[in-house]
Amino acid sequence: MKRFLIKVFLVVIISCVTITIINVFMLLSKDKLSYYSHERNVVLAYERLVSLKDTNKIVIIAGSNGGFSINSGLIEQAFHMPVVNTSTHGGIGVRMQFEIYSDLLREGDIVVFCPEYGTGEKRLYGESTLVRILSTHLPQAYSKLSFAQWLHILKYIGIHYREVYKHRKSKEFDGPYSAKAINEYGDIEWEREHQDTIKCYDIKNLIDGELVSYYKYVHSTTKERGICLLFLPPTLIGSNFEKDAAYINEWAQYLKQNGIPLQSEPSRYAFPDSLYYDTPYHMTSIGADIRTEVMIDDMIRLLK
Amino acid sequence: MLFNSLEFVIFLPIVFLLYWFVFRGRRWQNMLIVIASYIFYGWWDWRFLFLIAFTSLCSFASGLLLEKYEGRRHRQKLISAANITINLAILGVFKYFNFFVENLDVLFRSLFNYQMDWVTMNIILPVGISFYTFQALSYTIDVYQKKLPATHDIVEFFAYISFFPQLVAGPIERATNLLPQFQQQRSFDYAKSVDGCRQMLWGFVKKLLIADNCAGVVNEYWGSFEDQSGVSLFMLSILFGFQIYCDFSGYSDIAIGCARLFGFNLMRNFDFPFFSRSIPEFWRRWHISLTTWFRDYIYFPLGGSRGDKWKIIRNTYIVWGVSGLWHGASWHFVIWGLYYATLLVIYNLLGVNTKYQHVVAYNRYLPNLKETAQMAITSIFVVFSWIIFRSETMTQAGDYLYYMFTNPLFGDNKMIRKWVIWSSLLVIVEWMQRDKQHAMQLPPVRPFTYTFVRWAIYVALICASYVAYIVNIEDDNTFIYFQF
Repeated sequence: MKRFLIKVFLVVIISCVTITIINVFMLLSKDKLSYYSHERNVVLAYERLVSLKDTNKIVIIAGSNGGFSINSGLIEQAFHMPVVNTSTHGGIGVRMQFEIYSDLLREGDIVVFCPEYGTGEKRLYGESTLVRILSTHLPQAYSKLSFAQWLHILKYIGIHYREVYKHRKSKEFDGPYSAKAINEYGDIEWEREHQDTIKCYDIKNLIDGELVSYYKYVHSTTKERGICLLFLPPTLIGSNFEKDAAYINEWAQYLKQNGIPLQSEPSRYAFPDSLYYDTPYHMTSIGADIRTEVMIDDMIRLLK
Repeated sequence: MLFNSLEFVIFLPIVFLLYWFVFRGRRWQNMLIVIASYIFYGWWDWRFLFLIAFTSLCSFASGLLLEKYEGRRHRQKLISAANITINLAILGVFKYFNFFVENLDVLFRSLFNYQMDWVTMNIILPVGISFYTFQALSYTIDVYQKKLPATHDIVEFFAYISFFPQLVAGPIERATNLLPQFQQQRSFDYAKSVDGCRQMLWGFVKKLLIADNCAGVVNEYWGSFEDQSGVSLFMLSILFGFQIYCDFSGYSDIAIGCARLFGFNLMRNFDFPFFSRSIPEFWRRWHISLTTWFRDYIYFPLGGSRGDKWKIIRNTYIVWGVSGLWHGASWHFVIWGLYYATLLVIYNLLGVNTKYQHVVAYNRYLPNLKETAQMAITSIFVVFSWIIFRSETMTQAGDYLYYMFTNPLFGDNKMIRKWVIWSSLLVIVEWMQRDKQHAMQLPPVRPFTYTFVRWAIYVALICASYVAYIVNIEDDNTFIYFQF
């Protein structure tokens, strides 16, 4: 028995070491498609924030509802402060949307935080998108993952590698999803017109204690550091909002009860369907301008 | 709990260590097996534990009653019939209720133009119900036929029915083989355990590396078979053959290997069926535990191959019709069974059904031309059967065959071709090892006699399986035969 256990133990140890090496290799493999895509904004925003380390600025933190549906130029004009739009993809999770840039914020900065609706570990900790974006664009940000988040994303390493393999022959491309579409603020700047194929998301019960705990942490951290946090609703296509208004309002109430209210009405950020490009969070170029005007109104009101 | 899950990776070593170091006596070990098996099974849905416990209890009680009424054949017959009815009723409700109700409705509508006000129930099929029900039935029948004395130890009987390695997808064990093993003191056997580990590893390789990768391609292309070329459709059905073989025989290898770690010998379930020279030989090598179960408990009692040829034909069709229905509550499974019945009857009439009892190309590296042709023809028959098996309805199977022969012959089939080629590597390995119990029984020749070579193979296969597992982690990776 002893001999058997020792041999099994040794095979397991050798396998574990090899598997760890394989995991590290897969984890650090770059996805060529992501490299040429709008996801590159993660590193561009990071670099821009580094360059503005000693300046007060407005930082937009969101998923793709921030990237596709905000015109940061208008915000800069309205507030005469540099604007950095860090938004890329909701799939990186709320936690990393904030954590990646947290150290580069300084006292006096204004953070506009408008994460998409959603619940669960995927919303908080991200999914394979997070692995893809960090591996391809910002591997140093892996140091920001918590232990729980590491455990959560381990299962996505293989999926990430499958994508890496699939996209190994990808080339530079054009369009709103390309890296070429990112402007100097981090917005998607590519002519986008409404498409008829937008499908509503299935937004259900949004009550999520763990997510609220994290929002509370964001509130307290920014407050301690003298950073002004504006917690605004994301934009959502009108028909989807209408369908799920009950859940969204319940969520807004829940946040209020927890002392971290959304600082504007979610309904103000739901616009007619014709102003949306291809998903319920992605607006057309005109839609982005209209949403930004609403946002500026809210910001002026809140910053008074 | 799935074999290919993190839970099982933690579960197995814990049970193994408790089994050999803490629960040392036979009775304690049996008790541990029952507890572990119920945890293993309850991981899916704890409510079904009542069902398996009820099945076990009924069969256990029937055994005791059969013993009590020893010599009173009429009473014994009634007891056996009652227990068989209870077991089949449970199976019928959970597996076939909706099927029969729907068909009855169709029948009444077509015959009398009468819409029956039936309600179909939303029944969840308990995992492995067909497997453990058959195992329970085998006990009652064997005790009735005096092949086995009834057991008085309820723990060992519960352990026999619920033994976790083979609980959900077999091999379907006979009471005469497995139950006595629970009645004996087990001692740790180094060689047996090492071989068990190797067999488990090979099972995981087949499941994770081949079956799950083939599954992705098969599911993708089967969903749009109308748009595929004829050659693609043919290759796709070959690929499904690889998938189901690796999925099911992989499970059996894991189950047999796992049982060996605990000192048990389960029956062989697959014997390299790709290398069969005829359909009867194929069925002597594929899902052996089920085929022999039907042979012993249905075919032989019906008269088997005794009597005139019409009786043999009748018996063959009955057994294979039931076998089809066992695989699923759907007419295409019945047709699938009848398809094999027809082939077996033809082989029987030709008088070659019992030919080829030994491994092909014995003591040779390669088969001769005749053997190659025989294996190719058998494979083609089998491939066609997979089309019926994989389809959701008979109409779909018909459409698939129609498109296979009418669509353009060639088209884009890069992915399918790639995986057929990759999976063929398995065939090469299995060919080299076809005279062994499983493909991981490495021959005692260089370089396999070197420890580092063997270990390198183990580690490479573990890592390859791991990579395949995490790459396909978001797909549905349950074993195909769980649904039966």
